[in-house]
Amino acid sequence: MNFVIASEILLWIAVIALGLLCLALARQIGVLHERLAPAGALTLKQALKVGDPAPVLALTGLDGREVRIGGLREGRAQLLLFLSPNCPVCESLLPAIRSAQGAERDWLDVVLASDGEPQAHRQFVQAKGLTRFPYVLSEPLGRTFGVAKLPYAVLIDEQGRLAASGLVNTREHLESLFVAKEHRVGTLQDYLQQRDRVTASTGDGRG
Amino acid sequence: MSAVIHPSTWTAAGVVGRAVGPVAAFLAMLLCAAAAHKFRDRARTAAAVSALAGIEARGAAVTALALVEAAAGLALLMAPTRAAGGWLAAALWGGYFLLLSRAYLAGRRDIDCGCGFGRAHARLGRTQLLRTGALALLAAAVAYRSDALDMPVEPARALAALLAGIALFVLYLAFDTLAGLGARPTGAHR
Repeated sequence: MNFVIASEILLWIAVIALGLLCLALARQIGVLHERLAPAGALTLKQALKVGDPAPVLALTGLDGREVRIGGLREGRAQLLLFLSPNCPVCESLLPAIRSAQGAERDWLDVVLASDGEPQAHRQFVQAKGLTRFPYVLSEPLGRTFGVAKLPYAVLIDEQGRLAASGLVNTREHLESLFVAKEHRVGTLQDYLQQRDRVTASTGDGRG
Repeated sequence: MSAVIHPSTWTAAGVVGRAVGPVAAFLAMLLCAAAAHKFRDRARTAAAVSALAGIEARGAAVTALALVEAAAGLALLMAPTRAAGGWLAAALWGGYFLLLSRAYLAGRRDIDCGCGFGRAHARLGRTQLLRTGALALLAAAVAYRSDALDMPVEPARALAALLAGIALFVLYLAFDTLAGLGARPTGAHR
C-alpha cells in the first residue's frame, strides 16, 4: 500500500467520523424538537368548543362582495383573523398572515375581520396591501366566537367545525393553530396535558 | 507511483473510473438499508405504495419489493453484476421518481411517500423529487460506466472505495435526519 492510498483511507475514516458526528447532532436536534413545548396560541374561555359546528354567517365584505363564514365550503378550511387598525401587534402579524395564505393556499382561505367605521378600515386595507383578503366588519361575528382580545384567530375545518382558536401574537402562535388541527387537539393546553398523560403512563422520563 | 494519482488519470474518464466504486458502494448500502426499513415497517410501506401507486399493496408485495431492492444493492457490490444492479436500481428509483412527480403535480403533498428513514414524514416537495431523481441518475451512471473500474482492483484501493461509500452513506443519513426535522408524525393529516 503506498503513501497516497494510505492517506486516502485515513481521510475517508475521518470523513466517516465527521459524518457520524453530524448524524448524532442531527438526531439530538430531533430529540430537542420533541422535548420543547410548542409556542401555541392561548385559547381564552369561549362559548364555542373545539369540534362544535361553527355558526354559518353570510356577511358583506368591505369591497361589497358576500363573504360566507363557516359551513361546508368545498373541502376548504377557513381562518378568521380578528384584528384592528390601531393594534400594533396585529400589524406585526400581517407578514405571517400573507405567508400563511401563500403556503397553505391548497386548503385554506383567510378572512380578516374587525368592527367599527368602514372608512378607517378601508385606509388600513390600502395602506397595508390587504386588498386580496376578504375583509368583513361585524360585531356579531366577534361575539359569536368570543373574541375578547386582539389579534385573535379562529380556524374552521373543512367540515365547518371549529378546529382551533386563540390569541395569536406571533407567527408561531398562528402556526400552532394549524398544528392543533393537524393533530386533532383543541388547544395548546390540551396538547400539553395529553402529552404529560402519555409521558406519565409510558414512564418515558427523557425530559 | 500508483495509477490512482498518475496525471494520466486526471481526465474525465479517470475521475469517473475512480468514482464508480465509491458511488456503487454508497448506492448498495442505501438500497440494503431501504430494503431493511421496508421489511421492518411493512404496514407503512404498504400505505405509501397505496398512496403513490393507487393500488392496494399487501404484505407479500411489500416483501417482494424489499427483496428486489436488496438484490439490486447486493448486485451493485459485486463487479460481475454491478451493471445489472445499477440498471435495476435506476429502474426502481426512476419509477419511484415518476410516482412522486405524479403525486406532487396532483397537489397531493401531504401523503406519506416513505421518502425517509425516520418515523415522521416530511411534506412531499422538490427536495424529495430531486433526491430521488439524483439517485436514479447516479445508479444509471454507475451501470453505464461499470466497466470504467480497472479490474482486478488492488485490496487497498477497494478498501478506500468502500470507506468512501460508507462516508457518503453516513452523510446521506445525516441529511435525511436533518430533512426530517419538523416533519409530522406518520398518520397526521391536515
